[in-house]
Amino acid sequence: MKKTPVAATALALTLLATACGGSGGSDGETTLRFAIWGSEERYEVVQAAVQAFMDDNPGIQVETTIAEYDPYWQRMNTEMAGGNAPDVFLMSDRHLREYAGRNVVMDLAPHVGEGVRTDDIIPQVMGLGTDGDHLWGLPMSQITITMPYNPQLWEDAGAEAPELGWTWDDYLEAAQLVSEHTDEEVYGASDFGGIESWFKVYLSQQGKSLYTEDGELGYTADDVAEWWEMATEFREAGATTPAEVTNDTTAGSPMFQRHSASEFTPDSTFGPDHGEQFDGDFALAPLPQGDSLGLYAEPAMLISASARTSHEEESLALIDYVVNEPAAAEALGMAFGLPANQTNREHISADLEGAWQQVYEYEELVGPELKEGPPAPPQGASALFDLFTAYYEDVMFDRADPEEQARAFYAEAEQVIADNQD
Amino acid sequence: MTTALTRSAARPRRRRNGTYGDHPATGYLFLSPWILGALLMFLGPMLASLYLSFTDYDLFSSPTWIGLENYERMLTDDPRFGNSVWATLKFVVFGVPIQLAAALGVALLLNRASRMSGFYRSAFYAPSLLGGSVALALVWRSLFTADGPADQLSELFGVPSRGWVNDPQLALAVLVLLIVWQFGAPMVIFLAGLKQIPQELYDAASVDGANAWQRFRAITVPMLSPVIFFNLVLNTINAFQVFNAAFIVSGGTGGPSDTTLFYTLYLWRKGFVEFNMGYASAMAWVLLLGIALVTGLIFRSARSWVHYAGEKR
Repeated sequence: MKKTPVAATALALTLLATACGGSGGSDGETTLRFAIWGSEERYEVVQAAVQAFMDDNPGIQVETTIAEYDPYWQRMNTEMAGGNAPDVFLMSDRHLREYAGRNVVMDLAPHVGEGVRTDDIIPQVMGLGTDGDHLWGLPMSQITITMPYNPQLWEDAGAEAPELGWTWDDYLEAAQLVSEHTDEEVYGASDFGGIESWFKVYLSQQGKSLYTEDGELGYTADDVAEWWEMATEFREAGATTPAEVTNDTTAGSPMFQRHSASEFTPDSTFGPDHGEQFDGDFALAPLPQGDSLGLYAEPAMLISASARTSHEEESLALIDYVVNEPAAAEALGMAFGLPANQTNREHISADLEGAWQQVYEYEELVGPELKEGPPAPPQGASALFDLFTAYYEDVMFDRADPEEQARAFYAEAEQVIADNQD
Repeated sequence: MTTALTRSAARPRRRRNGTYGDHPATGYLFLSPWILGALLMFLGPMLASLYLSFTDYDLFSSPTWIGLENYERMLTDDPRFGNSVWATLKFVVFGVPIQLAAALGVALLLNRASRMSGFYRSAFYAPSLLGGSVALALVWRSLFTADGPADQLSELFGVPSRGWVNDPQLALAVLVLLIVWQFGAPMVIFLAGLKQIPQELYDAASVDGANAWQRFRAITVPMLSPVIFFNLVLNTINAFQVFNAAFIVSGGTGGPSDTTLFYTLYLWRKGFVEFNMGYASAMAWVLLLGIALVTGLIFRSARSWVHYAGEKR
């Protein structure tokens, strides 16, 4: 009996150890973890594509997990650092260098032609994932920044409908009209000042970019000040949402909550995802322009594999399937934007309807005007995106002067970039 | 009688020697889960974080030694660090005293004998059981969000608002309210303390003509001061480390305008959002020192206001 505590403790420790270490497949099956971000609708179409993949590849199980964009990266960061990242996952431009530079993303270049096909992918969208001889991921599709707006409200307010070539001044005027017409029940536009992505377009319209080829900042503190001053002008004129409304994103963006009649979105597939919310009262327009339109042909996102996956072959097969296989393309439709694969794109566009047709038409409209994508953001870029918002909040709430705040932001931005250079 | 006494006195001694005394290893074996836990989960990581705080470490590549640079930058060149210290101090300075006052007030009410006092005690304690839970923070956020109940209430009084959590003037107050509402744990401790105060003191004071407020000032507060001290120290330390509430209510950003960017939240952002684990580790150590300093000050001040019964003065 004396030995019992020893045995019991040993047993308990063994159980603990097993609980920590146990995982992996059973009976010859491989289980892949596939992580995506996005809406419920997107999850459903991805599930359908994944099901098609599993049907065609018996022996491979795919577990798909979905999260909203911010929690997705919070979780990915900890999982990556802990060495238990998903095998296959979606990658954004802002996080690409962050991860690739830290050797946690698989280089697909050696597998091109064997396992991963790229011949049919539209070259414009291959740029982001390509880095010298490396290929960090395949583009899921092509999207373009757009401005969904409520055409009914704009017409009622007597505002001119936005069209290719309209300017920021036109936007100010139109948005003001809408705000006045609804007695500020619905504002003409959502405050755009705090989102780095729109600042990117503003820079691009003047021939500048967020980052240079060498991963330095491609703009000055004056550029930030100008942008924030313009946003302040809009807000003070009543054209854009006041700070409390802009800040309240618990139930979605201001336009989604019907506090504003227009806003910018990174994703031309925004509308169809939320179509019901607007009862069809929405249309897509190009952003107001400066010297030029400043929009890029952007891959919606990349699909990448973990450098530490123990199922390399299966992971590559899944990536290839999702991007190139007609069965997957059919399941995905336009949920990620225009398919990156030329053949699939033509195939899909043949029978689009409703909101998806609108997206296609928008892409057709701006397609010829699109520029080649900017250099991929360097390490530290994902932190700057958040900092841009945090610093702008002080401007938005009238707690800081736009110009002083721009200088403070720029100083910290430079430091973040410097910190991240090896 | 004598034999019985001897036997009963001898028995425990024999047991002590015979069963466990010879085998200290067995004792340590039983302790081993705790010891292992303390070493692996606590001491090890603490030492590792101390080392990391002197390095540049991005979670993926190996850390490089940079000496005191993290600490230097924190104190001289990081405006958001200042914001986070300010937000946390405000939270502690407002939250803890109000929470303790609420706890003491309710404890005084409950201390009167009543048929329902058991029920009320549980009812007031319940929020504390839920503690720093995520569910509670979510509920809180929906109470104070735009067009939520708080907005409707303030509209009733003719003060239009767009969600307290979206207003830099009010967002912190929402979090203070949350911690104040969770006064149950200190309340139960206060109650226990109140029961220890001899009734004779009150009786004697009443005979001398002291009114309720005088009895409270001259008897309750001094007699209860060790308990107040205990609650103050404990809740101050806890308040400095609040994370969940601010994370959920601000969606992880510390907004609006950095007004709810608590120290721990900023620390987490540095480590897991900005990939600057070295800096985050340094922040953790500064927090530890900060809490030690504040606790030390409270202990020092205790000499002048905490009285232990039976103590000679």
